[in-house]
Amino acid sequence: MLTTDILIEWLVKIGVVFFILMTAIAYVVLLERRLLGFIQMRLGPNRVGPFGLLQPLADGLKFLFKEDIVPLEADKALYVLAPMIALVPALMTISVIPFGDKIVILGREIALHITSVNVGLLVVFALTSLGVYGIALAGWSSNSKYSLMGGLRSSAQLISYELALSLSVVGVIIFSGSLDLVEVVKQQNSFWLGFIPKWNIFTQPIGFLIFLIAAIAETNRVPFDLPEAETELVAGFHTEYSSMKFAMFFIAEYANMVTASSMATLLFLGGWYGPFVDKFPLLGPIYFSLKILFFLFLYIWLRGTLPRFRYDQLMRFGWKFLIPVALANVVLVAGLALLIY
Amino acid sequence: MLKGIEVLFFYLLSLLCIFFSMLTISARNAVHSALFLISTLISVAGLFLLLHAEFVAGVQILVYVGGVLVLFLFVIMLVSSGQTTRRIFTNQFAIGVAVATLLGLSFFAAISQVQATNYFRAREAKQEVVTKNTEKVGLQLYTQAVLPFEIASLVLLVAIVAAVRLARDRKQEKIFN
Amino acid sequence: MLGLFLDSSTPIFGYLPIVLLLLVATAFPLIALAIGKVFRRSVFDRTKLSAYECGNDPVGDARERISIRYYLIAMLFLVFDVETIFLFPWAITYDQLGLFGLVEMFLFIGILVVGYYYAWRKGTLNWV
Repeated sequence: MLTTDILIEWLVKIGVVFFILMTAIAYVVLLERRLLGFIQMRLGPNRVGPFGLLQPLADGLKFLFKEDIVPLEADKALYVLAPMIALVPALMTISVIPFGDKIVILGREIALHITSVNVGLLVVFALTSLGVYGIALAGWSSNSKYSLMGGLRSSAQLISYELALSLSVVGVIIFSGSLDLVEVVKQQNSFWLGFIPKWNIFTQPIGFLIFLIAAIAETNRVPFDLPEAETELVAGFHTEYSSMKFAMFFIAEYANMVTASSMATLLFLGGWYGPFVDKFPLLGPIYFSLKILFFLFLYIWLRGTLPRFRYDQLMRFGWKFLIPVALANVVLVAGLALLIY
Repeated sequence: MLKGIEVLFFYLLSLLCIFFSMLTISARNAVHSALFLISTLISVAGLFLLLHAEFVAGVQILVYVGGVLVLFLFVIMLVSSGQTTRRIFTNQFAIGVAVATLLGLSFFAAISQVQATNYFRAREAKQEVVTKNTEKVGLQLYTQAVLPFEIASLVLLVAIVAAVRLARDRKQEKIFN
Repeated sequence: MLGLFLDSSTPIFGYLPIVLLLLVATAFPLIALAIGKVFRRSVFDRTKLSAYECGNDPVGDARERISIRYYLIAMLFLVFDVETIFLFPWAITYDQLGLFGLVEMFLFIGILVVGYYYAWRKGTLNWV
């Protein structure tokens, strides 16, 4: 039965997780700017507050006060709608991501995820596949040549790498036998020889690498940041966007990064599992955050070191390398699984 | 049977579905039309969810919204350059009304026929709570429906070949033959 | 009183929080836009509101006809997306299907690889 206390539990969880997500996004931006600074032998933003810790707040205020420009030639309705289409699904994916096992608070057993559904993985993929429209419609509605080019390129890139992304996950599903993300994590609980954790990364390293590369491409990050490509497309699909609407694309990108990192953690790195997590379930979210932080650091590190792909190289890499390798990986893992069973 | 909040969602989603499909055919701009079609398809996915068909709902969004409609958008941008048409809704109003009436009547006849024979209600009684929805789909598809499944891949092969054959530009034809 | 609404044993019970989150996630940008509207000022200027084109006046409409390559990529994506969708329930039931499952999926992927090879040979996967 849907009782009042279940409803309250949901609302509290949604509130807490949403708040943590937004804060995390704000500080990942700061982390990125500071790390990029260090990589490039400079300091990065360090003036607002101690170590620049209030910088995200200042940025947020700045976004609020900036003039909001809607080009005269733009399709007004779609122009306003596009950033929302990009942002809302990106924020919604957090709903099916489990970040820990059950804990007991005030005599009440609380599962550490907003909700758990039978097809959690499918929900994540469905929501991320909606992200294409935010970018494509932003490009089309701005009625600027740069935006349209950026939007089109980006949509083609997103759909190309989505294939490799979903193919790389098939191997994980073979082992877990379920699309429920909680089940996927629990299957990675035990150990080989008593100390090597049974994480999927060890059984299918190829799948993990494909997932990681495709996920970076899906989030439009360096070296796959073709849609933005400041040097040739002057920010691509969001050339015309300013103020809060630009901020929405920005938040959506970082929310997608967090989602991609948590998916990589859940599918390949054993989710919230780590030493002593069985005795102290509260350690779960901490391990989970640390693993996510590792991936986020990787994102930033890549941005600091790699140049950008050319568009034909990007398409060739996606279609002629990643997809065949991902297909071969599926067959390989299936064969392996047959030997183990 | 639907109960409580499910009824609410059912009517909400059905109304949204009808509303958006009407907007789809009446929008003057092809890109807007595509966007309304996306909304329609998402509402349909919600209806699938109410039928406890979780996997189908996910597939609906992944394939139709994430795939087919991207194709539609590309095709719209390819041919029409997205201009708004300023023409009247239709020139064949009388024929339209006649076809719509006939379709409506046949739907009505079919539905009342089904209700009279109690076909669905008899099935509903047998239906247990499906928890492993996707697993059931998989088992049915890969044991009993192997042949249609393999034929599906042939259909997909035909789709690839046809698309590649039809939509090559001159440069590609010159280099690869 | 909310107990009337929904039986928690139905499998779609778990989707209600997603709907709630949809509401929260939609409210967030709307509120942000509304708050911004109070603070920001806006000065009308025709030049400022024209599309960016490196400082020149925009030439013609941006919505030109696009390359057919995008259509081809989307078409190929669609075919392989359907294939991937077929792989999902197969992977779930793989432990029950066993060798039979492997062989039938091998056939399925094999037939599609023929199409992939054809597209490769015809240069569809090249973006030059």
